[in-house]
Amino acid sequence: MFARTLYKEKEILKLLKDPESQDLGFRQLVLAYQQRLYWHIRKMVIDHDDTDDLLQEVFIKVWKNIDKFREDSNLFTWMYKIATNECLNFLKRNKNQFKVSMEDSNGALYNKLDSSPYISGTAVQMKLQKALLKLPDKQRLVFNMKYFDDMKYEEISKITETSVGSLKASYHLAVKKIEEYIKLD
Amino acid sequence: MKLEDLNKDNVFKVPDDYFENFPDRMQERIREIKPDRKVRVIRMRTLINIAAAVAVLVVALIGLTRINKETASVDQLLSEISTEELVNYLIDSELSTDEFLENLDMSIIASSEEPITDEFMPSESLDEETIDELLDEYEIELELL
Repeated sequence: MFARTLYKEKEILKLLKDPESQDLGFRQLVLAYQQRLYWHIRKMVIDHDDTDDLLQEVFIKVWKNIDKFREDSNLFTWMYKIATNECLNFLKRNKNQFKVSMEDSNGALYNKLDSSPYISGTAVQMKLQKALLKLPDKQRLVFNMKYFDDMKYEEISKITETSVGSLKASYHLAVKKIEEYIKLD
Repeated sequence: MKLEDLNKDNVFKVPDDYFENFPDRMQERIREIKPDRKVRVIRMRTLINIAAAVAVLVVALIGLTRINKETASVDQLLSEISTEELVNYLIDSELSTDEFLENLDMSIIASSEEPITDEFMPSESLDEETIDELLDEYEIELELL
């Protein structure tokens, strides 16, 4: 069986590129990044089962496209980008499927916050989660990465392919909207 | 209430052992995908075989077209020779009348648009005596006709 040791990014890539060690490389890749990617997706799609499906899709895409990965870029940034795209596409698909209006676009996610298993928090924490769902998906994404994951704007910029200036503006606007919502409620 | 006053504790939970089991589940998914890669290789080989077969067919077709062209040119040359010249050639050749008749494709004569009115096939009706003479001359027995 494979060792549980966590490998470094370069070692994982080396293992992945050699057909003889691909399986070990892939396992190490999953072990190293599954949690961070899971929480990134989960905060966006709320439901555990949806997150589980998307996380698998992300790793499959990574597996299928590892040959296209440029070694001068960061593996985790690349994977984060794939996960982000998967989330946004999933949310878009759901909205088209249920034909909900833009104002109530995250209504289904709002219901999931109340009904899905594996969610528990204080009243204030739940209020914050509901406030987040009032934001457009891309703004919510930026807020999550900055507020919860404590990522640098430069890092978020690489993942979202948005300028640092736009990201700062988006984040401050999101904070303002959320604080207003919490005050009103 | 300010956002900075809130604690950032995660409200989302995962089922027990989820992260412990996920790598095994993922490995399983990848195993399902792997045969795809083999299929792709086989398909690639099949494509190469098809390409080779097509190439052989193309070469064969080019060859056949050339042969047809050559055949057509022989037919063309023959059509330029008059019936009289052909008959004279056949009289001079060692081919006997029986052999000639045996090898003659009667359908060609039947479908020929050219009226057969030369001295060997007179258009006016022949009396029985003349026919007998002709048959004797060409040594053809009546039952053969």
